[in-house]
Amino acid sequence: MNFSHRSFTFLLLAICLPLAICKGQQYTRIHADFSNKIKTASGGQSLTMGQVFYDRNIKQLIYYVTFPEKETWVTSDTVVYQIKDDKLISKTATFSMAEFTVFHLALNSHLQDFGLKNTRYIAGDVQREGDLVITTWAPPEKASEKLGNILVSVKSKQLFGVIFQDPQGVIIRKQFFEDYQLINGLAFPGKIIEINISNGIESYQVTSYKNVVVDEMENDSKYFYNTSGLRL
Amino acid sequence: MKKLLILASMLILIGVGKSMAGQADLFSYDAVTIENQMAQLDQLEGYVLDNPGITLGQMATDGNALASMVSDPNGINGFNLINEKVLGIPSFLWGCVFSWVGVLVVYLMGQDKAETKSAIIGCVVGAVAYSAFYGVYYFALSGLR
Repeated sequence: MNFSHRSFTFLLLAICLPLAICKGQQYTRIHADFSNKIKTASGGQSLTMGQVFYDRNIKQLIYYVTFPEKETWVTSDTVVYQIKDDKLISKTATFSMAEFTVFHLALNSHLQDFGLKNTRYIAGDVQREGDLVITTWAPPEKASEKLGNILVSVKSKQLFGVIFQDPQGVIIRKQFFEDYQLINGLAFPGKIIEINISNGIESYQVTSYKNVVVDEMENDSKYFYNTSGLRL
Repeated sequence: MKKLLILASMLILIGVGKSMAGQADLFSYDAVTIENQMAQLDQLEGYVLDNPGITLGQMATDGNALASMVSDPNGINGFNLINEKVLGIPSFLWGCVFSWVGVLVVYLMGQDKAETKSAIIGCVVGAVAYSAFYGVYYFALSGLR
């Protein structure tokens, strides 16, 4: 009886361990220095710099902005809080973005499919072209009149580009993930380039991440912002 | 006849190859254009990095010419951008693709009854579609037993 119990445990480990390894390591925390540059088609320009903190268990995405002004932006559940000098400036409802950010996806090893596996988009055609593996994700049939396909390309097993099309197949947005850094085994893009296209006119956004730290034990207070007492 | 078939097969293969070859080209962009577009902002970023803690307000007060670079006419900034992506999706799709969270988002965001109704319809459509799928799936499995 004892032997069979041991055998069962061994068998369980033999099956589960490789599966766990194959699933990929999961990380909890990430923080980085960021800069976000926007150039709109109309000539408007914007620079935002600071630090960003994210803990996937807390699911608060917190930007400690230092430029243009010192502010804190907290995305928690479906709300974005804009805070200055510990006072709430604005509170905006939003989609639960944290789970679709590059931070959450990277920590969960889901960056490759851009998190689309967790939506009702359907993976269709997969093609290899040169060093790119391109997957076409189609929206649910009921939504296909309003949403277009999303094309996701992977290069060297890392997310390379995402292309958003409108229902007619016209490209409306391109995103590129570049300069990957390997931190404690976690691959994280150092630069994200976004091109928004409206009526053939392009606007640009470049976001850079430097000094990326993964799973640090310090700075606990930076990963959680108590929003319960915030009032407008 | 044999030669004709080989030729036809080759033409089909070339055609298929051509139709599949285009997608990689979509994943390209003009890096030089973006570099040029970002040149002024790069300069400003360099200045901020050299002067830690400086704010745009301080730069403007000091009469720093770099400060005028970001006086954009449309009020675009990083914070607006966070919300822009959310608002780009129609409410029906919030409901259909993202289920109850989408309905909540539309309700909280717009307080617009018509929009919320549209999101709820989307949610119901999504739920019905899922139920129908699993219903068919279940009966198909039952039939196999």
